[in-house]
Amino acid sequence: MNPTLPRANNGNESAQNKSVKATAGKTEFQSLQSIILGRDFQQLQDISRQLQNPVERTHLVSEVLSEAVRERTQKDDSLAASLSETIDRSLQKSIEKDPSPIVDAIFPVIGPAIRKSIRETLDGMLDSLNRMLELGLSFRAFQWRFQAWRSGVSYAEYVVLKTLVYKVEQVFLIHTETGFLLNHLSDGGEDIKDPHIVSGMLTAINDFVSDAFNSQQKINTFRLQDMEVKVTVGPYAMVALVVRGSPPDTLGIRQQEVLEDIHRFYSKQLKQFRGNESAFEATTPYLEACLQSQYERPPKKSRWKAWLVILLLLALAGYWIFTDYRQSQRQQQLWQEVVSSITKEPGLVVVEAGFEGAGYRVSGLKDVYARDPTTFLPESALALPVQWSWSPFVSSEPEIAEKRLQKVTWPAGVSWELDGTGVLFLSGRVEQSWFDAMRASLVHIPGVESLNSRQLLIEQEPEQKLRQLVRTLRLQQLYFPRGESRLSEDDLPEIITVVNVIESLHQLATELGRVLSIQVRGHSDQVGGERMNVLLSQERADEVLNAIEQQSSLLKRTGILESSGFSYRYQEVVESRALVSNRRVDFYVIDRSLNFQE
Amino acid sequence: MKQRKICMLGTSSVGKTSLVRRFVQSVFSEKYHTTLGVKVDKKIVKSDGDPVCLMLWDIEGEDRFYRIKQNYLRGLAGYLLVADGTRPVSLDAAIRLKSNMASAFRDTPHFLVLNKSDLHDQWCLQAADIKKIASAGFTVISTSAKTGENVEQVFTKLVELIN
Repeated sequence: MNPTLPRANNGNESAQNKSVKATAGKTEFQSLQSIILGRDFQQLQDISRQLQNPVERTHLVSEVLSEAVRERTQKDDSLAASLSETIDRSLQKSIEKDPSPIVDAIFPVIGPAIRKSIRETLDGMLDSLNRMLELGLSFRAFQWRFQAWRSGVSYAEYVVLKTLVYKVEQVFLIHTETGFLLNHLSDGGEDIKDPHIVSGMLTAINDFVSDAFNSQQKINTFRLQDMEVKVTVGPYAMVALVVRGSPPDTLGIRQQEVLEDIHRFYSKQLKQFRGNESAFEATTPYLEACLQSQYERPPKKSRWKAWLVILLLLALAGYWIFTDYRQSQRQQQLWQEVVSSITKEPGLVVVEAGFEGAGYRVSGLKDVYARDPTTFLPESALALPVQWSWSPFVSSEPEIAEKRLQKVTWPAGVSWELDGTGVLFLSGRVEQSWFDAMRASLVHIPGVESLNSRQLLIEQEPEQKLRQLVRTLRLQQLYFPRGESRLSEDDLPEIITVVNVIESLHQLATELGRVLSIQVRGHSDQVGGERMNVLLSQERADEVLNAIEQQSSLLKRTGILESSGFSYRYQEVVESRALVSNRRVDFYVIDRSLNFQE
Repeated sequence: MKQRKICMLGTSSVGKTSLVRRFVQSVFSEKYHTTLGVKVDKKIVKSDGDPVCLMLWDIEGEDRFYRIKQNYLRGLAGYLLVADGTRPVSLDAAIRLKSNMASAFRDTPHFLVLNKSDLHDQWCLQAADIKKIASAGFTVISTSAKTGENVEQVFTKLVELIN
């Protein structure tokens, strides 16, 4: 027997009984409720069910969500602050998953945003340039420089002080009770003491004032010269701003809003604060809203200075580009002139010319008689950076050939001219021996194709000329009629010719240091007696000698002439005894210095 | 970094300011004592390897009524009651100061600092004085702001007690 079983059964029974009783009771209670509350009971039940059922609850919230959001947004910024973290995370997740929808969405605004940003940056640059000019070059700037120097501060500091409307240099978030620093921001404020200590002292000052005047009120503002400390105190924290200049009222409102936001979003941390400031690092964005500043802005119209400077700079740049272009054009033109004049120059052959590395380069051939380009190019062209490279060659150009001909040692009285076709014209007097020696070598000068010596009088040499004159004289004969020893009028020209030849002969012989005598020989034919004929021959010779001496006083004075008559025995042609040629006078030359007779 | 507020209390000329000066490099002039009645200094010490920022509120020597500006004590984590061993009256002042402090601060970690230990031969504490100290439940540390004896230690020990 299990003693627990009946007890269990009993237990079950009692439980069942209780349940039945409870159900009956509940139904009765509900009936009673429905009687008392009537239709409201049903509505309450419906509301209760809707609140308990998540689906219906969601439905209910969705009905009013957008209106609620709108209403709260109009009221304050807390919704934005609450959602910011969620939105940040959502965006981060979305970009991690697939960045393209975000890229597509912001694509239409990126262009305008960049344009706006560039515009504003340029605007800012223009403003700052203008400001710099205003502060750097104006009379006021000089005045300020002097005053800054006098006050012993830097010019930059002085300008900031003078143009500053206001600037929040430091923001303190301080725990009201302990005076501990919770967070601190600074914007270039100079000479900052330790913010923890400043925070403590600020609290101490406030405590001192409350204590001294027995008031729960705290100091809102205290000023020293151009510095102002604005304090807004909340139940757990206070925000203190160190402001230089005169801040607008809106700054105080902003400060109050920031303090309220911090109290709203960090109330738990503030209440539980036990000296750990790290929990308040996240308040930085709120406090940054207080780091405001405003400078005195010059009126827009005074931007003309900036424009003027820009225009001046543009004009300078334009002038520079123009002059640079003109200079390069001039240089190019100069280069062309250089190449052209070198190409034209006789004795120079340009093989290659162009720009290479940092300058120009010319390579080619140069005759030894050609002029060096540096000697004939104008000075402006010599300023060009040109590197010359010449290889030697022999030019046959007429100008160079002329230079070669100038180097030849010409005898006095000879002149020469080279024409364009290479024909060398010689004129004047020249000795045969020189001409014979030079004729071959002149033709071998490059550029001289042939010789023209028609105008050249080639002079024989004196000995040869002497012989020539002797030969000429020997050919001179004067003929007489039979039995006659008188010359007729018609013989005079021949007499003059003989006189000329003998005079030349005498002159040349004298120059050569020879002593000549001229024998005038008379001849007769065989007709008649020999004695008579010898006399006749002598008469004929005397007649001619006298005629010569009559014509030439020189020959008469020198006495080089002698006459002699010859008999027919001395005739060369004996057979022709009666020939006229036998009745003649001819001339023999006797060289007394050499015992030479001809 | 944790911050802790420590107040220096005691009657005039017991050497509170000298102790603080010995302990930290001051930023503000000591003239604040006479104008505000308080001067705040900072010292970073290590406690269990972690840096702790001590904000030292050196509160001006109290008047004859041994009143303290209670506002200055708000949020304090510990305090040092400073007395001069050569002047028993300063010890009385320290004991009274403690009793005058708001009840909220009674259990706050604190030491009784008997300063000027370099002048130990001039101390004139009687057996009764020692009894008084013992009955008031003080932990006593003797220091010398002049020689630096125990100065660092008193602050370090207080920080250990606070943490």
